[in-house]
Formats: sequence, C-alpha cells, structure tokens
Amino acid sequence: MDQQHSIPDDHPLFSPLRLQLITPEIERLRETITQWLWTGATGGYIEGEPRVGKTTALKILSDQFVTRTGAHIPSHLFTVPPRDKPTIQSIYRNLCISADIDILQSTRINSDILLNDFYHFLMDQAFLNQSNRVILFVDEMQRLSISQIEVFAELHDLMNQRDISLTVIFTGNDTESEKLLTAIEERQRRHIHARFFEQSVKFRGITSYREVSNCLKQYDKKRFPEKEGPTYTECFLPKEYHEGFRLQQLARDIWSTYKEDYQAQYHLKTWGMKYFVSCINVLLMDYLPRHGLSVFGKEMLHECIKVSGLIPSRIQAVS
Amino acid sequence: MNASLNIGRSLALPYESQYAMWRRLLLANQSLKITDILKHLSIKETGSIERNLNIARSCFSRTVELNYSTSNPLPAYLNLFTENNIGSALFAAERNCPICAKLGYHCDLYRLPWLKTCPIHHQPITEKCPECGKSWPTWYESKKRKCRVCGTAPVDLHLEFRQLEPAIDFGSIHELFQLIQSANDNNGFLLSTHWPILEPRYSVNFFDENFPQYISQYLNKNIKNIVRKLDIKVTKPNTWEACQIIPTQEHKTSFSRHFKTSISVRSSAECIRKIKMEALGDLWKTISQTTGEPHELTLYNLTAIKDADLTGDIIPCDYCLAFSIWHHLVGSLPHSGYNQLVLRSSIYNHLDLSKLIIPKPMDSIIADNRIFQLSEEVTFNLYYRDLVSCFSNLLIYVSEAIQHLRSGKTTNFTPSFSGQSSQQLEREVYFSVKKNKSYAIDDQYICEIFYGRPKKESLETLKNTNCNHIDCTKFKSYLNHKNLEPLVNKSSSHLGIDVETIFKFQFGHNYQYHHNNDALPIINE
Repeated sequence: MDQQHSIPDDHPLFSPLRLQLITPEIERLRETITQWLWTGATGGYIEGEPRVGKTTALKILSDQFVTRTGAHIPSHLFTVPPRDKPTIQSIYRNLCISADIDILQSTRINSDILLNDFYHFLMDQAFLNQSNRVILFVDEMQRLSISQIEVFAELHDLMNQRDISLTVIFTGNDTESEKLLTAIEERQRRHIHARFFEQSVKFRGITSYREVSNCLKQYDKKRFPEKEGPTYTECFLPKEYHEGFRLQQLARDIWSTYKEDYQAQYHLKTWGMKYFVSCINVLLMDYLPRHGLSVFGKEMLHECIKVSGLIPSRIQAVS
Repeated sequence: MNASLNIGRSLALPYESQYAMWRRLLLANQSLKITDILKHLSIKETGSIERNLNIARSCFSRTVELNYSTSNPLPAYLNLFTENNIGSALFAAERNCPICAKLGYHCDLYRLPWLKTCPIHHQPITEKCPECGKSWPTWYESKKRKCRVCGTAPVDLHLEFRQLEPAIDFGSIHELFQLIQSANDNNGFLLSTHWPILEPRYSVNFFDENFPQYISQYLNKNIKNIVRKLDIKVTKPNTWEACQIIPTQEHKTSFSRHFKTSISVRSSAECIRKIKMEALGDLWKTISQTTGEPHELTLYNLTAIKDADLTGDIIPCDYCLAFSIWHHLVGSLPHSGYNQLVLRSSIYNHLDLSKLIIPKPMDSIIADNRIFQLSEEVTFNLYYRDLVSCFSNLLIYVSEAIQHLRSGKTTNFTPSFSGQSSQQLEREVYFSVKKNKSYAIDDQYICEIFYGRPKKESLETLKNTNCNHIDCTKFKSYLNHKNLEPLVNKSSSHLGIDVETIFKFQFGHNYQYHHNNDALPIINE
C-alpha cells in the first residue's frame, strides 16, 4: 500500500472513463464501420446490451477512421439526452451544445438557426480535414423519437448538396431500441430506414478467455505516464511485477470463475466491459496489493465481481 | 472536434475579401451575437466596434484560418489591399455584385472604381443591394438585415441558391489580381511620363479611376484578353494627358493619428512650366537688383565648359553658371534636355550635387492611409518657392566651388551651406486628425507644411557674388558660343500668383491652408 501513495491522482485506473482497453470486439467494430464507410453507406446502427462498452468503443474509435487512401475522416459523438418532450428543436439545441457552440446566451433561437450552426460545424470539420465525409455518432438512440430522427436526415441531405457525405451511426441498447427500430421499418419511414438503418452490428462485451487475456495483457503493457511511467500492473504491484508477475497470468482463473459461477447462473451472454474493468481494477488496486498474490483465488474474485455491480444489474434485468 | 466558433469554411471561396470572411463568420454562427464572436476571438468589448475590429483583424488572421486553400495566414491578395489604404473599409463592401452577395461572397476587386462589371457573373457591380435598395452593409450590419441578398439568412437559403449556381470560375479574378499585383510592384507597370522634371517612372495606384488608361501603355496580349473579358474600356492616353490625369480618390481612414509624408509628383505640365518661367523672371529681376546692373542671364552649354574654363583667367559669371546648372536641374524649360551622362564628364566632375535638392512639384500628401490632393495653388506656391531656394543654394555652391578649384586645393570641397542630402525630405509635412465624437461627422484633417531648415536660402538673401555682366560677356565670347542666346527676361506674374503671398512662406513659419469639406487638407489654426 505504501507504493500507492506515490501514484498520481490522474492515473487512468482511478478514473475508469479514461481507461481505454482495446478489446477484440472494438477491433471488430472498427472493421465493420470502416467497411460501411468504404462502401459508401450513409449510416448504420450498433446495438448491444447496456454497459458492454459501446460508448467507450466509439470514443476510442471516433478519431481513427480513414478513407481508402488513408485520409482522416472527422467525426462527432452526440449523446441523446433524456427529455420529457422529444422535440426536434431540442435535438438541434443539444447537437449544438455537444459541438460546444455557445447558444445558451442567445435569445432568438429557432430550429433554422440551430440547424445552420450545427451544419456549419460539421462542414467546418469536413473542410478542415479536407474530407468529403463526416461521421456523426448518435449515442443512446433509444431516447430518440421517430420525428427526431428526421433531424439527421435533414442534415444528411443538406450536406449532400455540398458534396459532403454525412454518415450517421446510431448506437443504442438493444431491447430499449426495439420500439424505435420497429417504427422506422414502417412504410412511411422508409427514407430514414434506407439512409441509416439498413446495416447494423451487434456489440458485445467479453465472451471468451482469449478476450480476458487480451485485456489483462494491456494492464501489463500500458504505462502511465505514457512511455516513461510504470505499467498499470507495475504501478500497483511493483514488487511482484519485478519478480516476474503479470496480470495476464490470472486470465484463466478469472475467466473460469466468471464462466462457471456467473455466466450460466445468470444467463449472461457477455461480460460487460464496465463490470469487467471494474472487477479487474478492484482486484489490481485493492485486493492484490492488500492481501498479496498468495491469497488470490476464487473467493477474492467473487468479491471483486460482487463489487463491480454485475450481479445487481442482472437481477434487475431479469426481474 | 472541440469547436467554439464556426468558421464557415464551406462558404469560403478563392480571393474572398476580409469583409466576406467576416460575413461568413456571421453566416456560420447565427446563434451568436457579434459581441460573442468578438469574445471568442479574445477581443474585449471596449471602445468602438471599429476599433475592436481593427484588433480583431489581426487576431482573426492568427486564430482563425482565413485562407481557403493555403497555409498563408493572410493571403497575398489580401495584403495587396490591406497595404493600400482601405483601412477599416475592409469591414464594409462599398460595391458588390448582387449575385456574389447572395452567395455570401465579396472580392476586394469590387472596390476598384474602374471595375464596373463582376468578373465572375458579368453583372454590374452596384453600390446598393438591388433586393432591399439599401447600401451594402458592413459585416456587422448584415446581421440585422433580413434581406436574402445582403443579410445573413440561415444556411438553407444560401444552399438553395448555391445549388443553382454552376461551378464558379475564378479565372478572371485570378488574372485581374495578377495584373494589379504587377502594377503594385515597383518593377511592374509604371507610367513613363517622358517628361524631364517628373520622375521618369511613375508608380501607378490601382485604386485610381484611370488605372486602365495607365496600364494601357503596357497592353500585351494577356492584358488585352483580360480587359476585353471584363468589358473594361481602355483608351491609350498620350504622355501629356497622362500627366494631366489627377486622381481624386479618397479612402476611408483608419484611426491612426500618426502621419507619414510622401512626395508625389503629379500635376499639369504646362502650369509647372509657367511657374518655372515665373521663377526665372523673378530671379533675373532680383539678380539685376543685387548686382546693380541689367544682367542678361546666359544659358551656358555645360558640356562645353572644361575644367580649364573654371580655373582660368576668364571665368563665367557665378549667376549665369548657377543659372545654367539650375536650368539643367529643373529641366523642363524650353531647349533643356542635357544628357546626364555627358554632364558627368564636364563641370559635374567638380560638383557634388547630391547635397542639392532638385525641386519637384508636390501635389498630394499620403497620410493616415489616405491620399490628399493639394490644391493647384498650394502646389505651385510650394514649387515656386523650391525653385528659388534651389537657385540660391546653387549660387552659393557654385561660387564657393569655383573658388575652391582656383585655389588648387586637392581636398574635397565642402560648401558653406548645410544642404540636405538626397535621403532627407526637402519638406516636413505634419499631419494630424481631429477626431469627431460623432460618426455622422467626418473627422477633420489638419495638415501643416513646414520649411524647417534654417540654413536654406531664399530669393531675399540671394548672395551678391560681386560678379557682373561684363564677366559673362567676356566668358561668352571666350567660349565663342554665339548660338547660345541670352534668355529673354521675364518678370511678369502671369499666373496671378501674388509674389507677396508666396513670401509668406518664410523659413520656419508654418504654411497652413484652409480647404473646403470636399477636399483635403483642412487646416483650422
């Protein structure tokens, strides 16, 4: 524990939002979206269970998409906020806010003005990057009403007129988005369906030992501060690390404990990244430094999984 | 992807003016007030908006990518206009093409008074918006306009129009900019006046209404194509006409209180010739009074005078020698036209004329980024005075130089008068702006022209060199220059210029000139 006193407060493990683990699922998502972009798709949607890491995946991937020639494709991530009245203007307003356009002090705001400003925001990004394509990620799509989807169709059409292609990629929780997706498939919404919802991809959490191992390996490799600092594992278990211990060595035990004691019992299809990361962080930052590697076992893992919140979430979901 | 201010990059078009850049900033940020935009550019809202904008202009070029396609923070074509006296007018569009305005476009070329037609759309360039009938707005006024042409309508209106617009050809704009750039360049289009007293090469201001006439002298195939394409009427003036073209452009001022001086040589050749004749007549009269005898001023052929002539027993009269040199220097009197190279091999070997100021008429002052036209009366009075002063200095110089030569000294000759070097200005022109608080009233400009060099001589102090006409006659016969007839004396003041008035310009005294509101300078002391 003594060593932890010297760990900086801004270490990524202390703020999970800053912890970015590239899982095989994220790589798969990157390939899928790249395929959409390269084939000229104007949109698509990503569905998945809650807390599997869709948003984090988008944050990681958002600035990594390139054209066939290697040119950067700019993107913007917009998270739909929950609102009592799902109006079109509220979407425009929140799009502008997400783009850090300072509209709060202005009094004479209408949808045209908001659309104008957000449109120019996207166009600026396209021209700045000398790209003829911009990606707009719309997170929490289940919060959208069917009329609000029209906003993105209008933006798409406007930019298309200036030969800039807007690819809108929606993400949402699979079960909660069903109602919206069903409405979109109705005949009168074909123009929206054809633009954005013809292609989809399922995003999952961790589903195999290999993925667990891959994630733990990154704890052994990633450093903070980058390049010069100790690895995440080394930071919290310096003595063990220098003796040759690597977190990746625990992958089989972790996966088997999850699989045998939780996956089957709670009918879990995937291990959500939020819960997985939380579990591993508790293990690495608290349990192992406090009790030592020699005490590591199923009991400790059960405690970590319990602290991660996986079980309450499943009970709630099942009930 | 953190953006606090949209730039409207998609609205940017080649060769757009700063006005257009500011306007597209409004178009792309409809939800922001102008004060918000200024804040985003880290400009504090203190003082007038123009003042802020002047700061913003520099700030804008640093913080925001202005240019459409290159990394140059301020494109060369913008520099061209920024450096040419349009100041805060950069934020206004005095003239515009209605179709360009509807597209959110404006090019600085449209400010040029001689460009009547839009090079892109071949539509008349107007001073008012044909849609709403108002003058073209400043960029910040356009925020309040509801007009579809000159206002800042939301994006869809512009898109709707831009869709109809075929691919814009900026070829003509490019060519025109190149043409002007060449003219603005010292090595580019310069007007040769072929007139001895004027600068042999005459820089052309492209804001001049007669710019096409100036450049017409240099018409080549490319320029011909450009002017034909742009329907610019070009008539080739002869040299005399070119000299008589007096530009009258005035540009709005920036608010610098400081001045810079500039001597510009433009005026009517004929009037200047008469001024010279008048100065000559008055010189003759004064010389006669000084020497106490009628003195025929003899115009010697300087190329014929050898070193031995200056050191021998029979020497030319100082007055006539000084007059002959003076005649050469001021150069526009009838029958003049000495070849500079030839003179280098004669008497000029012994005279360092670099300390003498060669008089040139000054007809305008460039100050505060504006060109102010002096009235003819002021120009001629100043010129007359310079001519006299030049002769006085020359007389001292020549008499002392000859004495030096005859003494056989090998040291360099130093004249007693502290003549100014050619690097120094012969006048000092002070210029200031009396700023009015109300924008409705134009600022008042005060111009003061000083002759601040106390050692400079005047006609009143013309030196008596103890020479007389007999010396001149002897020398003339010695040279046997029978073909050089003495000039006819001329003393009448045929231009109506009151000699007494002229001498009010005493050394060290201010010359102040009142002018009406239509022309400058305005002096009120």
